[in-house]
Amino acid sequence: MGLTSHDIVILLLSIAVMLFAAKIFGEIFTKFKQPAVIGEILAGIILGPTVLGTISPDIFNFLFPQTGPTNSALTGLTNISVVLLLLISGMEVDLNVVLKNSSKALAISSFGIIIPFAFGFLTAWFFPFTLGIGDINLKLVFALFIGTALSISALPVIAKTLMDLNIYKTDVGMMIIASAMINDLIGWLVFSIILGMMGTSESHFNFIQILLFIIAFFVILFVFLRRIIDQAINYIQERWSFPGSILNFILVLGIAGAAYTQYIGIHAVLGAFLVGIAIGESASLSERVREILNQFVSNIFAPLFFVSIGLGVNFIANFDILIVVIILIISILGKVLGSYFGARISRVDSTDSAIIGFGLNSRGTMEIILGLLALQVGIITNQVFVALVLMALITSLVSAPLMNIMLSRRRLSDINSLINKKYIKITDAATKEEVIDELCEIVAKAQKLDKNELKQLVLERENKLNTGIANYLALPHCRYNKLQKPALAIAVNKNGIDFNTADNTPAKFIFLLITPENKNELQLQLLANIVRKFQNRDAIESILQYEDVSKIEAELIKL
Amino acid sequence: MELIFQKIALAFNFTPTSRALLQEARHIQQLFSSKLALIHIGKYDDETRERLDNFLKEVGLQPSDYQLIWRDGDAATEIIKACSENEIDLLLAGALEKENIIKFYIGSVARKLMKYSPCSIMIFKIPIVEKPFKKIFVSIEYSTIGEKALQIAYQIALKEGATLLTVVREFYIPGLTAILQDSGVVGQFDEMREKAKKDEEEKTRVFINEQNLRGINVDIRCLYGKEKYVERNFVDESSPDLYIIPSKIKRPSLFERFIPMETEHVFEDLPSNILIVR
Repeated sequence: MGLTSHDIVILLLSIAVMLFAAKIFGEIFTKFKQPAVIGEILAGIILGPTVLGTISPDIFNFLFPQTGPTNSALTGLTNISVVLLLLISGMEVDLNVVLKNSSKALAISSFGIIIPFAFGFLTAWFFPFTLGIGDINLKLVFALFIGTALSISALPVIAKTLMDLNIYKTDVGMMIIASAMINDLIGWLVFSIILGMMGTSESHFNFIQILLFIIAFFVILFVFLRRIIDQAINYIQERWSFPGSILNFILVLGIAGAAYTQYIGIHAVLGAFLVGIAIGESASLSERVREILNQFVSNIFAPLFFVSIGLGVNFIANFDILIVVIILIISILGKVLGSYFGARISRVDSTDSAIIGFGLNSRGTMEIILGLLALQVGIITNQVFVALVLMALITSLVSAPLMNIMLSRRRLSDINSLINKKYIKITDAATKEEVIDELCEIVAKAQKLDKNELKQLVLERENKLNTGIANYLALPHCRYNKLQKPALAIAVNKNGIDFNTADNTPAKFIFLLITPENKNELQLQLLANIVRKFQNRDAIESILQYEDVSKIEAELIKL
Repeated sequence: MELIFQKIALAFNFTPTSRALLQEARHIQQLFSSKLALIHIGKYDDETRERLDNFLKEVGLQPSDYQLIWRDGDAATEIIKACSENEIDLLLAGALEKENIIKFYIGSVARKLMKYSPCSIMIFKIPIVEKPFKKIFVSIEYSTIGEKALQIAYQIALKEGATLLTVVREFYIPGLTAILQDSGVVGQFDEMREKAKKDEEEKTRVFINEQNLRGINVDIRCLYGKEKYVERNFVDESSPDLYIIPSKIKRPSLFERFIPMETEHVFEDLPSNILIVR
């Protein structure tokens, strides 16, 4: 059945309306530092039967007919959108990061998956009717589905949140990112197994065959093709027209991969996702191409998909408070506790573990796609689907504020969190040795260390290369194996002490920084932060007028 | 702190390249006042022995100048064993030819040496150009081995009378483009990358200051990229005399076929003479 001219007009009109609404709402949410995806999903709910369909059924049915060729065409378009969305999601899964952070991230993401999965599975298994099971004969698949739908974190939302909170590049941030990547990977694999079990009627193969096809695809893709893809990308980027050719190459590969997995009876998104990972692994792939592809998909295709979610379901009529509450509670509890526990057994301290737990709590695309499929084959009801979408929205919304609460307790890699009036001393010490002695005393006392040993290390370092910097700053430091976290003590001396600074200013601020032995990068980061604070001589001189350590603390933090 | 290669070794055969390599080995030997060992892999017989002695005499080496290590077996394995048994600090070898896909999966002698040599290893780009290392690039990582690489670069630069040492630091923020997926806001993304670059430069500066490199100018280059690809391109364009990188020995694992080693892009097609510091 072809499209008539009228159908095409409706189709184009509906796409224009969807994109426009998505942008407006996405923009509003971005302005308020919230994930744009929430706005886009809300736009769909408003355009769908929930709001527009209720207020003006005629306009709704005109724009978004629920049957017929226009509907089919739009469904086709949203399918392509999801495939592309998963292609770029795969490209962000960095296997190197996953492997490098492996032990910790693996523990965090394993528990972060297993616990919510178990919560979901058991709840669905024992209370299938409370959760509104579609067909009781499919209880196992239903329980597996609910378990999986609660377990998978949303990497893009998490990445954005981490960046807004300014902790992307910290240890905790990287642990969260690596865990979310592993989470994504495992999630999609489990997802494909469930889909195999669901056994769509159109599939030509049985479950075992499907599994074998997937394993073969995985091996061929990552063992052989990955390398060839890398070389091809290198070649195309250098020799062919840029960026058209390379974008074309990536899309062709992604769509072909998607076609393959769809053919063997698993959803197309899995193929796109796996091909995405193989492409993303290529070191030759320029960052510019990643940017272009991300913008292209996230501004055109992703919004179409997110808006389409709300178009098929009435969120008010299908709102079942009991199901929503159950899903929310088990998903949040499961994810936060699971990730927290995984971090704790990897010896991450409790505050950071909580940050990780809340960080990984955001759910999104994955559960919605899975939900849509389950809805299509009748495994779940509209009520469960609505609850899943709301869960994705709410977990994404609360993640940042919850992390902020934990973050306010400590920002470890930030020098300002180490500046503390308890460890600031106004001193009359006349020599370098004297002031180092005083500072070592402060640190040793606070950290319960052997002062003499510490002092010896600091002086050894000092003798090797003096630590006078410039602008009245001296920065004696060393690494110490008996320390787990960095420690800082500050001496302020108005007369100044000779530290042989580069600009010959006497050292009036002496920072003693002690860092754990094995944390080279942390030490460099903190030293760099301190040096950067001491750029403006006037501001530094003005601090010298204060006698009160609280005031000095505040001013140093402000610098 | 002066890091010296006390004992260096050259893996050689009778090719014309070996002649040039022997000259380079003598140059390094003189720089560090090291002892020289020559490793030859092949079946021992009197005829070959005579040929070898003559070959060495031709390039001006007297038997008292070197220790000869002669072994038979798989080249890479035997060279690696010889290095451990004879406490070699630096192994010298000629470069591998440009590799294709099939070679990548089979592996070659030079590739194995670069990966599994127990000591530091210097690979000379073929054809060998005999000139001092005046233009030296060193890649750094913030670790003990990174410090060692920088110190060695510094020592070589001083000994060769170089006035400038270029320090290259490649850094990468994984998953960063994922934030574009949500809002597509490029400004914030660029800002973050720019800030990350400034941070990285500051860190590198502190790292270098810690190493107390006096009497030489240091040029810092922080590049955004991964697995040394961007760095490699940069080095390729600048064509230095020597490119020094720190790299630990990596044991082959199941994942190694999946995940390229960080320095793999450097290994494939040498941008210049290269010194891998262990």
